[in-house]
Amino acid sequence: MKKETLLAIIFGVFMGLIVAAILIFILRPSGEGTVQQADSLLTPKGEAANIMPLEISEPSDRSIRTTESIEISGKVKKDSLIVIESPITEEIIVNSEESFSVDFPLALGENLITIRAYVDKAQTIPQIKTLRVYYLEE
Amino acid sequence: MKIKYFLLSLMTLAFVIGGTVIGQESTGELEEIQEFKEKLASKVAELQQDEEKALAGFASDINETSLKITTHNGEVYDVELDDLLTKYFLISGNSLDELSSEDISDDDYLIITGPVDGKIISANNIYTDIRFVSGSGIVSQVNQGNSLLTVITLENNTLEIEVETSTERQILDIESLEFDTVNFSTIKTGDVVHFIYQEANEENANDRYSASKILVIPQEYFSK
Repeated sequence: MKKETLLAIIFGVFMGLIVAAILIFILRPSGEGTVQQADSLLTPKGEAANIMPLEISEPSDRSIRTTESIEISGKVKKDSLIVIESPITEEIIVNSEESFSVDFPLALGENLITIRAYVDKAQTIPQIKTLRVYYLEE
Repeated sequence: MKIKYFLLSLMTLAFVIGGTVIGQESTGELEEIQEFKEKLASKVAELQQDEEKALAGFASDINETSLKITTHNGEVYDVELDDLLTKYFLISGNSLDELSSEDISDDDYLIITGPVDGKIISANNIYTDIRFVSGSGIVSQVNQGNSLLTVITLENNTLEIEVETSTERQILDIESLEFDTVNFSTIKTGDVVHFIYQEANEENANDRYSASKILVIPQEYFSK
């Protein structure tokens, strides 16, 4: 076999390997990207903003605390009137961002905390979350 | 000579691509391990948080070793009592008074702490407290004579809310968005009212409740 022919075969095999590696490992679609695409198809951004429900991330229901106050944080449509009440106190805020956070005092024992968000001035029906938080000195 | 350089370059290129591919796989594995670690840490934190929860409800079926409580949503839990381990307290304002097991009676509102296993809780501490309930709705009638508000709730129930002299009364100032105290005579039909009252473990046949606190949002806020 001629030297040039041997080189051409080796060159061809290497090029084939390179192309295969590019196709298999670099250009394959990642699972993460596919899921994200599916999400964006299911929830159009405009509608998601309108139906955003009141979410409270902290504190969790029935949690025990050993401090005299807690931070209540959550998310709701921005510019909502948020009224947070317990038997001993109340706080009111209008959230300029979707997320909000309020420092809230606790009484010893069970604290029934009701969070109402009026998201629309034309609606007298608020979104409501009720939590029971226990401030207990042990 | 040229052929040797060409072969050398080709081999270098093959090693570089091979290395990149292997490197990507290693990075992917590391990310998976990191993700697994984060999930594990989150689960541990969640479990720890679960351990720091309490249960509360009205007491019944009390005996020396156990009692039952019925929570606000009607769930019944068996509470195991231990002579040595379980401690009893009365919440009185901002202080705790120690009690004995004999001081606990049916219909007391109890807060229980301790490990929970399904519907069984082994009580470490038991606190007697007051149970409050909150609600809201639109004022449909104002009875000035006996300081009574008829309220239609979000669930479309009709309740009567007694506003006593001891009831804390507040109204939203729709300009400053702050609360002011309010006279009963200022409240009118169409206003939204939030109320909190104490609840005892007994049937309330006439749906009339004595409010500990009311908070009024004037109807003008919604038509502004």
